[in-house]
Amino acid sequence: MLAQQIVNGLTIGSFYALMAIGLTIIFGLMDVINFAHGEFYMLSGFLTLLFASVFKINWFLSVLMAVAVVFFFGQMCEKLILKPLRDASLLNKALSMIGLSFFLKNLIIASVGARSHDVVFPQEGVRLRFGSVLVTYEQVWFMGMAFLVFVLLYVLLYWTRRGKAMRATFQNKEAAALMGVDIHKMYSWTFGLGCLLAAVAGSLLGTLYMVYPAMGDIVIIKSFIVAIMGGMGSIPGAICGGFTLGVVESLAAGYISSEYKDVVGFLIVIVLLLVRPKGMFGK
Amino acid sequence: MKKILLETKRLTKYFGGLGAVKQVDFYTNAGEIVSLIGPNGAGKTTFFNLITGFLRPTEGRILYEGKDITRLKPHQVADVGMVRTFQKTKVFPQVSVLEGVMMGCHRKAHLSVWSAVANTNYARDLQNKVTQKAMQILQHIGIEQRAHTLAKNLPYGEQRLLEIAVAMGSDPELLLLDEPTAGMNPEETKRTMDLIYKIRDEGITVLLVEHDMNVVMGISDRIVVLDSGSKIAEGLPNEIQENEEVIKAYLGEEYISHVEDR
Amino acid sequence: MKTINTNYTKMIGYSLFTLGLIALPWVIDIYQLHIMIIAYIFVILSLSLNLMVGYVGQLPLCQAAFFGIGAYTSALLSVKLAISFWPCIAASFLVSAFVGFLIGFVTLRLAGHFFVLITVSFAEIVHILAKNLEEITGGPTGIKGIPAPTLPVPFLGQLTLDTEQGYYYLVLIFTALTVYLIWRLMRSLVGKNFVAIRENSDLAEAVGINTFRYKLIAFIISMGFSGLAGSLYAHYATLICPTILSFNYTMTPLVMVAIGGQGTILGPIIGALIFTALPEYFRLLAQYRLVILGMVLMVTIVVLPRGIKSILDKVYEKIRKKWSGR
Repeated sequence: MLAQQIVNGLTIGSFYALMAIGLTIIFGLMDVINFAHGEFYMLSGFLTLLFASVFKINWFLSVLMAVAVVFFFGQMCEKLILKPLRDASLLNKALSMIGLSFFLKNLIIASVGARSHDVVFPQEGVRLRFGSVLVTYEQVWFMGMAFLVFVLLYVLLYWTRRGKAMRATFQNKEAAALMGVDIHKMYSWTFGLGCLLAAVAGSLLGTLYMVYPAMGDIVIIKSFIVAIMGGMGSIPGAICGGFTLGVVESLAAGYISSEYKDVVGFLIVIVLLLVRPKGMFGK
Repeated sequence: MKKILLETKRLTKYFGGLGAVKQVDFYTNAGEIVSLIGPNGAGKTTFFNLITGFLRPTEGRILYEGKDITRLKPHQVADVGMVRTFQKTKVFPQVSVLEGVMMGCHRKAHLSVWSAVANTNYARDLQNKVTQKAMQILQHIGIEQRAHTLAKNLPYGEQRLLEIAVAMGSDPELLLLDEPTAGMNPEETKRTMDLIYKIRDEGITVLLVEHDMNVVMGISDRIVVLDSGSKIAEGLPNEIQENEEVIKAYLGEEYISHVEDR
Repeated sequence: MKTINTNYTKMIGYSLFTLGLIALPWVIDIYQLHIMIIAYIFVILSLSLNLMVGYVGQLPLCQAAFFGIGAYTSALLSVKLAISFWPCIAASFLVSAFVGFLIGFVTLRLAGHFFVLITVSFAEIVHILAKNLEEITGGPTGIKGIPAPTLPVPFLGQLTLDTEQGYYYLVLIFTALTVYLIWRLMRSLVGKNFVAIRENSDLAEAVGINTFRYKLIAFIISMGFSGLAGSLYAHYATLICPTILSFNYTMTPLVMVAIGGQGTILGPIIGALIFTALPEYFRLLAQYRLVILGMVLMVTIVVLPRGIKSILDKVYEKIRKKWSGR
């Protein structure tokens, strides 16, 4: 039982990590909490649904396309909304993102409806058994994909020119600007990347569970919790925090009650903020 | 008869492994103008942040009139009588100059929420007094014609004067000025220096961080020199000018004189 | 330069306006009155939110929770304990203020972003609790049969405010009271402290303003009035359920404040009135009401950060200049 819970927790934890990285890099660079984070997640889920279930495109391709669309959409939002607000107060930046989130979610509800939808994953339902632990094929695939994204992210940030520029900007904006890095481009790419990570999580989790307009609601909070646990602005922190939260939640759901599973996260963050606001690896 | 106002003992602040302020023993006498100087990165602003409660020291104690104020929060430090300005100009941008100074007067003009909402005579009276006091301070400093201008619309030099006006609103006993003449032309610098003299003549002790050596040498009763977080010298202006350690610390570094900097 | 003329004009203007408000129930129909009642409740919510957002400069995303706490407090006291309306609404205010104190005390020490997060989390927890604690809150079906307020009138016995007209006056009085109190507060030295914190928190601390204390005071007052609004809603709607704790009720006042004009008294009032009345005229788009809400918020922040009031101010200035130019 314990092992099962832990495995479940790690699976969901890998997604929490993805989502949290997305949020934390945007915060780290732009000092903006992307309140629409959950909505980009949700959009990708719906796009995957659209491509895979309606247009009957291969699932993997659907996910790729959905994520790409959300990436570009994210960049567009950054350009239209956040760029004009560069010098605005943190409050106004937050408000604009809250507006965006509300807009996107209700747009989907108004146009598509509030029901849940199923996304079909090829080879779903197959289960594998490792000792006393049962995992579905989906879980294995998805966790694998999450790890693939981690690896790709690493390659991007440490091996590509753009990635290195992003890291430099992340550490010191002024210095990077002085060295000729186009800061606006960095903002645009970082925001897009953050949305992309949310999108990957959204497509995968939407397939694993269900796709519905409110699925992003809990995402911003969970991502925020994990990002704080790991320390705002820290990618390794987000990864560690994600897995930790996943496992703790899973254990709570198993041993206490699944109704109050979400409360666990809230309690963790409240305690954390009071005791060690910097998180595990905080800047 | 010298009375020690502010004193620090072995004041230390480490950021991770980096020692920004190391074992600094410091004091000011009542009524003095003391300048804190040192090359960039010497720890002067960190020192200011420590003594005014914006940073917690790693080690050491801060005493004001003999009382330990090490663990006080910034507003409590202000309550005790120590008020500061900031290196990067800090005013209240979207309110008028007069209102900004009124905000600075809070320390001596507490009003309870009940009185405020009920608009008692006391509340009205207090508000009038504060308005008058703020106006007087503006006249004193010489920017009263700007009373109703928004702080963010003031030219740089007047913004810096406004900073001092706001700090003066709190009736400080010890005024801490962080680079008050930074970015000023000679005329503005002289105006500020005269203002500092005026402030001292009213019995207020002044502690400055300054880079402009003309100002420092001209205005200070005493000078304390920091380098890389440690105190390397203190004494009268002419003593400091001839001090080898000090010259070495500044050697190779351009004389940062804001007189030339425009 | 104020002349006798401008003072008289102002007085006449205000009097006419007040008379207009009082006479409204005779002039408009029941449905429109209903809209006005809801609008007034949102005026209270917006004004109190503005204390935090527009004046102190913090973003609490938990107003729905306090609106709900006020509503449930009033509902439970009047339904389960048969307590009359007036102590109930007072209790709503006090309970909300007290919970506000507890939450604020713990969270206002933290930097802005964290405050936002904790308030959102708190609101979610309250929402979950309201749905699950069936014995207390009635669960998903909520509480019904909330009695209308009664007022003992000399010589005439009990007056029950169970009509739109009656309730309109009740809400009008409470709204006017809220406007007055908040206006007074912001004109006072305490109000200046709030603004100082918003404008430059470090500087405020440095000159002796206890920023934590004043943020807490603003939060307590803000959430207290939110609870008051909740009580007014409960006794009007006569039934409440956990949906009043949904993020909608946090979002809507936020949009009203942003659109109307942060940091002013008139701004949130304008925002609230516009945003309650307008949707009624665009019935066709009812389905998209929330979508438009989000869009409007985004656009307003980018294009018109100081809200509609800033446009009105400019227009007023132009008119004033023309008049004195003559």
